[in-house]
Amino acid sequence: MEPVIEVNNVSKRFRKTVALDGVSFNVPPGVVFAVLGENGAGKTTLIRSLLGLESQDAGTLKMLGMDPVKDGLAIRKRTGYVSDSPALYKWMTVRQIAHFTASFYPEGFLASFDKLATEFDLELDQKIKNLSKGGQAKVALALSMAHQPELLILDEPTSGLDAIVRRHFLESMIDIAAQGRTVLLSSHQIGEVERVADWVAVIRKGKLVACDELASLKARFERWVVTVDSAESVIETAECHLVSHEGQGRKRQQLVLFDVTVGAVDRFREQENIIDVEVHCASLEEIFVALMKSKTSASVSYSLVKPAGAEAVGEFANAFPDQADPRVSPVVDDAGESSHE
Amino acid sequence: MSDSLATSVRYPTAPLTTQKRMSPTRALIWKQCADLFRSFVVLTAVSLVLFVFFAWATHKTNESIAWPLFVAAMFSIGFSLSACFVSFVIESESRTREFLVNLPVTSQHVGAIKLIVATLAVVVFFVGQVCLALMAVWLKGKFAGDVSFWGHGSEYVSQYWWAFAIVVGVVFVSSAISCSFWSTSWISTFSTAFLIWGLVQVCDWLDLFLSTARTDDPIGRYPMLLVAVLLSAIVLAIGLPLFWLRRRPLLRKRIASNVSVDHQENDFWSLLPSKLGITTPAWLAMPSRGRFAALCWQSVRQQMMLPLLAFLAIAVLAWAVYAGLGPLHYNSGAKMMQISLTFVLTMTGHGFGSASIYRDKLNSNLSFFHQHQEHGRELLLARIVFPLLLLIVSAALCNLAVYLLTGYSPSVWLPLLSGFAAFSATLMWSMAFRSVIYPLGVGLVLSLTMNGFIMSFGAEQAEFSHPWIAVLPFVWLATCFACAPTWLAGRRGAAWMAWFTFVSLATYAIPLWMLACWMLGVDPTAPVDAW
Repeated sequence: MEPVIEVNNVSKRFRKTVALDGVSFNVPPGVVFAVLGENGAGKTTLIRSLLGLESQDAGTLKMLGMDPVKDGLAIRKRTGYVSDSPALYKWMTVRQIAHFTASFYPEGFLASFDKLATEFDLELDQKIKNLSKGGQAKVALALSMAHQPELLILDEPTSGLDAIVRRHFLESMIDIAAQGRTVLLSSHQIGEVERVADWVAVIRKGKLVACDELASLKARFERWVVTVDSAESVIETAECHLVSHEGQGRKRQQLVLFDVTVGAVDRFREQENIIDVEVHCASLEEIFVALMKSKTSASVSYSLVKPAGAEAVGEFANAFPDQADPRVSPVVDDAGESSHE
Repeated sequence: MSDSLATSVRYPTAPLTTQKRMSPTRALIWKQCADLFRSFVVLTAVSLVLFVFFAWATHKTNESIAWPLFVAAMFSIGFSLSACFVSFVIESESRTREFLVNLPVTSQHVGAIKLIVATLAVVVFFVGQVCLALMAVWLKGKFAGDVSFWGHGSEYVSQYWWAFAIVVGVVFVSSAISCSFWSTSWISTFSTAFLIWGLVQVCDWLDLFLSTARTDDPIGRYPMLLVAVLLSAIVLAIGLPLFWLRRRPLLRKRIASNVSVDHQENDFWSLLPSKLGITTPAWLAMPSRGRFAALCWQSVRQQMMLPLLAFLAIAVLAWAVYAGLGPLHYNSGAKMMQISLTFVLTMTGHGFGSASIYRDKLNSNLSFFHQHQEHGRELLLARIVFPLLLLIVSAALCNLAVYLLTGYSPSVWLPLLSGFAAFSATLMWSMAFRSVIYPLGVGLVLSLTMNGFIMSFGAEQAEFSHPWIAVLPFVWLATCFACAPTWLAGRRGAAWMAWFTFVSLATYAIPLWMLACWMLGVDPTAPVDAW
């Protein structure tokens, strides 16, 4: 199927700050696609570029097969967008802004908005300026969803929403995706993203460091909790790519990248100063934190970016073209840097 | 924006699904009308009060006929500026433009409707003002028991209304262009420049009318007016298609810059020095230590663009002088200089007042100062020193420019006092209100009153007409200084509110008192018996 969004080698700079650096990925239809990253990582710039609100310095973008700048009108008819701080006419009532917005969309907008307003518990005759921040976010969400867009772009959509509405909203995201429509969302609420997202892209300092189906991405990480005999013990690194390690003293955590080779845990355990190794599945938050903390992610995590249509795992040769055998253990120095021998 | 508009504009209350969908054009017209509604009504109401007051006031015959059209022109110019500001600037600054941009409607559609509705509103407003002016003349005749007022007045209005309409039109077009394309800084600069030009033209026509024959042809004396109209039309014809109607990416870029986290860094004024290849001079670098030094540094950086605005206004003033106001009529030219200086410095003072506190409010910097409320007085002091110095420098430069061009040396005391009063009033009002419109109103009323006063009694009389002109700004300033920590802390008790209300009312009291003296033809410095 043709991707809903195509981002091809897009770069953008603000003076000396690199907002996006050669970002490429595709968003397939009918999925909830989450973009994660730290503050200032480039998420909002990416979304604004997709909407044609920012012009990219290099690369190409396509939304629903169209150019966001040239075909803006056609794209806006088929998409919905909510920014992290929605700008609404504060002097209008909820009813007035719905009626005003409905003028620009086909019949059915008001009926759909009415339904959403009931779900979000919005009072139609209340002025926007009298609504709480969460209330205004609900209005913006209802307005963006009322015309049943093929693609819904949400920048921090749940900030300001209470837990119940947030849960309801996230469930509606799944429903939208189930109807064959696509949702692109950026969020800091990684736990919530993990519940609803089908695909995840992680941006760090303008670079795409991971892009994969959530299940595949999680399958490639393991979290090891290592107990050593003394706080001063020095341990050898396992036969895998270490993204980050943390903890001092006797109990140390290690997060491991890629499929761990068969028997790697057992061989790791054989070190004399290791008492125990517990192996856990890594949560998305742990993966995200590890990727953000990793100083080598620019090189290591390239292999996490899954090209459209490619298999989820097993691309070591492409990922490390300068390495004869990427499964050779990296050496971790004291500062957490890793390098391949 | 127009907070109370929704209550003013009738809207159906039936369930959403039973309501008929509006067409995009009708929806945009409805929104635009609602946006302009409040300023239209408020300005009409205020002008109506003035017209009735004029009709009632005892005054010289010629002036009684001319003042209503003068007021009509002034308020129409004010509404022109307000209409453009509401249509483009407020929408941009409150980021609701982003809401519009994300709707499936072309920017040409939105832009065209905004311009058409705003233009029609200005036309309707001007026609309404001319009708009210005629009503004032008719009422004057009734009150004075002299039927000749109506005859002369209606003849005067029918002869000259179009000349005033051209001035209103030029101000509207120039404001629309500047408001459509540029940031607030540019808008302030360009709009003020054209506003000054418009006011100078109107004042000069009026003064000419009062001092010479009524039938003098103002247009014939001012080929520059026609040149300006032509230039504006050309700029409009080229500018609109290029920048507003066709360049959607530019529009989007502006919106993006308004909401971007990098907005501050990408602000034009921040980028200008680097664009010009100017490195930050040592004296502008962040001081390494000293709280007051750091506050002064921040204040200077925040207010730096104002001198440019003032100097541009001086340039416009010099151009207006050079265009022939002074040489043709030395006496009226001298008055024009005094009036223009007063206006320029009043607006500069107002600009400084806005940049002192209002910009902090807009940029949410106040939360930072809230955390350091114990330094409120130092903050205010740092914000006051630089503007006062620059006001004095601007006054001196204005004086020098006028002297070099005309050989006439106007007194700078009145303009300086007016600028100082506008600065302190704006500073105080910015602390009390979030809107900058009220302080702007104070500045305009103050300036127009001073100007009217100069025209009626001369600058020397106006300077010493009332000691409060000099004293009151110091009271306002002292109030700001004393109340700064309380204000920053957000603890506004009844006493604080009472005092602020009192001095806020006093802000209007003096200009209004002088306005009344001017309209009644009473010299406030004369002994009471002479009234």
